[in-house]
Amino acid sequence: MSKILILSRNQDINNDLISLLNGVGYEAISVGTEKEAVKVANDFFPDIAIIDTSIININIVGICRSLKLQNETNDTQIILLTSKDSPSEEVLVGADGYITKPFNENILIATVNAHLRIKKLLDILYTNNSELAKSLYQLNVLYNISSQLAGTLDKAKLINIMNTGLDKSLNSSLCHTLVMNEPQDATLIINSIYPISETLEEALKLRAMLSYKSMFENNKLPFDLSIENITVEKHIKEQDGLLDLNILHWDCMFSPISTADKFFGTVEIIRKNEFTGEDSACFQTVVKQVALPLESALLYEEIQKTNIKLEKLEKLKSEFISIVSHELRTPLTSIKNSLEMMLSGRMGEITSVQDNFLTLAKRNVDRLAGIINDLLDLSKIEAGKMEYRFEPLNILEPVKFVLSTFENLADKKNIHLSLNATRDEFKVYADSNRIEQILTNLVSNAIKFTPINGKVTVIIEEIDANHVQITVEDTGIGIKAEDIPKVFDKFQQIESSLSREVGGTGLGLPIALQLIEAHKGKIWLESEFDKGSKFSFVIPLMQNLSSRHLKSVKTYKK
Amino acid sequence: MTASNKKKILIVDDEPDIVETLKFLIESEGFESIIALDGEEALKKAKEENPDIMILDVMLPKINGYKVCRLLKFDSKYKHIPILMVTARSQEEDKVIGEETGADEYITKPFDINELLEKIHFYLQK
Repeated sequence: MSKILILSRNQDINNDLISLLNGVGYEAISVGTEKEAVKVANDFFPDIAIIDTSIININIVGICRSLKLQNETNDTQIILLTSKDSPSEEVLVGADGYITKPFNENILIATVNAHLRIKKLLDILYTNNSELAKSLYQLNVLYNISSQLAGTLDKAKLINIMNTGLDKSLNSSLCHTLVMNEPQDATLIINSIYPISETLEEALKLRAMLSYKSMFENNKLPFDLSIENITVEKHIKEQDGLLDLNILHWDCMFSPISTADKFFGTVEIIRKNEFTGEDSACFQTVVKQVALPLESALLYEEIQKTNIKLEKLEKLKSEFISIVSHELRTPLTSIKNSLEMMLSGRMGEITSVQDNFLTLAKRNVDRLAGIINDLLDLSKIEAGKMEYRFEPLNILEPVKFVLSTFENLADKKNIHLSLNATRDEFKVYADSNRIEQILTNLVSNAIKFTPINGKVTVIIEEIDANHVQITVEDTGIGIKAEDIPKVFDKFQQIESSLSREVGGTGLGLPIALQLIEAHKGKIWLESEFDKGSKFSFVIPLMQNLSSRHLKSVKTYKK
Repeated sequence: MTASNKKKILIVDDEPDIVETLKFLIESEGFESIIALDGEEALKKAKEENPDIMILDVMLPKINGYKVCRLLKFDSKYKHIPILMVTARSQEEDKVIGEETGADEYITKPFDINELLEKIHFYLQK
């Protein structure tokens, strides 16, 4: 029912108007003074105020302004009841319409109706506007939240962004979020406008707990939670107030924070004013938006944990290898030295059988020492701790040296060991010890896997202006095509009766590969089963290395 | 000073088995051996006995071999003593290996007695 307030000191006019307006179905009341008018209007919310301007000393501008400035009546339509002798200047200010006295009843009702329509349209416009503004604001908040959520993988920060977003977009009095941490431990984050009473805090804990449990009803809970294991974290906005159990009668919205396969917790917001459908949509959107980054955060956390574990394991592994190799070297030293001294005849004459077995023992001690060296080298290379002493050198020198150390062994098997170099000098920037190590591995393999009366040839040639290629070719047992890709893998020794016979760690080739890569080179293998193998590697020639490269390779002093 | 003109070799290692084999080797070569089982004893014996050569293990109780080596090599009274440093290439050793110790030779365990003897003879003739 439309409401009309009448201000006039003339009781007749008041009565006339009230009965007239009541007669057409409007609620009308009258007052006699401006002060009264302002006060009554505050409770009555009139749609229209009719002011009789014939009152002596009335401040028309003042009363209009008072009504328009008062929140409850700022869109009340003001109609002035004027007469011919009303001061014209004043009546033109602040009012929305005019009726001249003596008034025609029909015109008055028509005027009132017209203003009521205006008032209604204004109301609709106002509501639409404020809804629009609210939606726009919520949209803006949502946009902000989503960009903030995308920027972090920290669980606590994500929850905080969600809570701030809910608070901003929905203007709740209280928001409580139950966040699961560990299997049996959860945090209840309470964001409240005012401090909360102790009983409310307890009630919220219970409420969050029960809501959580009721969500899963008969199914297994993702987290076994008891109320003692809920830690409360409170954020209070303002101090001048107190929230108690009453707020549990207010309007509320509740939602789990979860994705299809992960559950993170629950959230509930409470406020006095009812939530609209749009509010609910906004609430759901915000909560859904946080679930996905929470899942990513969880994965990220797991990855980090795994990484730390892996790093620790890696460190442990290299420490282990280092310690073991050290601990093995010391006893090996005594064994080796004792055997060598017996073999040297310092301890008296030995028979040829004794010599035979002592030599056998010594050979195996040397092999063990070699394995330890390989293990240590590989673990150093993998840990990036291998030290290289690069210097300009003629690669023929280490090659010749290595071949000289194998002469005896080759002779024993009657293997023809030869070097075939196209030039006298191939200048490279390399660590000669490492080049020796690479060649020792390749040549010893070649001799090992080549039957008696075979041939092992080392070929050194310039393949282009920038690279020198070293090839170790044998007439040995060869490698089957399907096994070729495996030869540079760790601990890979192609199964064959011969490989069992000759032994070895299977570490020589992976070490050679790594050492060659450290020299900016490449190694590959060509082989034909039963015919022989050809291992080749290239490394850059010296003149083509830029000075920058020379500087970037650190030299180490021993 | 002992009356004999045998060359004196100071063996420093905390492993009794290594000490025993080295002692036998040294003596069978006709040298006189002096033994020290830790870094402190090594320093003391080096200063008292003034050996002709020193075989020094790195990982030693009390004072490590690197430190012993540095202390002697930076002392003008003893820096002439050739030092053969024996390492087992452990991680701790790798850490300090970059440091300047002044050792004349590094020998990796397990070493070859013939190589060791070659080196001893080489430094004794110097």
